[in-house]
Amino acid sequence: MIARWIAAALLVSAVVLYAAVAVPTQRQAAAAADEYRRARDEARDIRTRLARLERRDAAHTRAATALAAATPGDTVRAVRRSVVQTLQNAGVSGVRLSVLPGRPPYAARVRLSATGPYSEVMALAGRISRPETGVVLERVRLSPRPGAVALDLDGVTLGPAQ
Amino acid sequence: MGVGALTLILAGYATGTSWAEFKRARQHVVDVRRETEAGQARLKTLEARSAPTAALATQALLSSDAAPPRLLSDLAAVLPPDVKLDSLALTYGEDIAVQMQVSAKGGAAYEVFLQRLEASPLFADVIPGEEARDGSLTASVQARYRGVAR
Repeated sequence: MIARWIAAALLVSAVVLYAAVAVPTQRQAAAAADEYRRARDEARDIRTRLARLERRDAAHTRAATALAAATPGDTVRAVRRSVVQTLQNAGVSGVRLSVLPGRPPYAARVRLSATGPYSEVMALAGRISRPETGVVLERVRLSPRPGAVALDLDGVTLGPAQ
Repeated sequence: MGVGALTLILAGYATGTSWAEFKRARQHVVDVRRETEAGQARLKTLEARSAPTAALATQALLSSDAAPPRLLSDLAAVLPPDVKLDSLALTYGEDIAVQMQVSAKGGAAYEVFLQRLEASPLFADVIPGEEARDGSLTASVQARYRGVAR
């Protein structure tokens, strides 16, 4: 008889423990898991935005420091050298290049035009827009010429990063 | 009595497991919240840069990440075989404005091109411009390239 009472007490204790503690804790755990998922999504969104802003700032710093020079004259010479280097071995003709000092926030303004086969013109445009040249594109125009493509490119180099 | 004891053990086990799960989830939430707060503080710092500096920085990023060869390659992918790109002008700023002149063998091919351009996740704000139809078709189209912003 006592054993039955003990068994009943154990059973009741188990039900009470389950209903009063386990079930609410499970609900809390489920709620916490939901909150975690929301927080994780928010964190992912922030990481994405942060990554883009950091890439943007890194690009700005690279562009501003690639050809840092003391005077406008030095800047113009450095930019000209950089662009002339990209023109070496480029299979283009009719090259016109002008590099002038720029007004802040620009250090210099670059204007380049050239004509050549599509692949050569594209390769040239790709090389000029590489971060190490220091040239940031403003306007690029590609227009047809008999058997070739004409490239007209306006770019700037940035002054020191603020 | 054995059944009672077993039930109590199972209830205790369920309670312990739920409690551990709850604690773990709470700890994850705390960790992620801490990371989020640090990220938000850094975001504020970066976003606090003056608008002109931010615009220049975006232009510098687009210039290197969306250089003409990449943009042309993305544009070529949506050009149907019967549509030819005659000229192209790109203006880099806070985004890349694309102005193009195309010629198509017929109106249907041009429509397919516009549909593909509009459907492409790489291009937005597609605005068809003036078109001339005399056997073949030539037209100007404006769009915004957002390839690197996705």
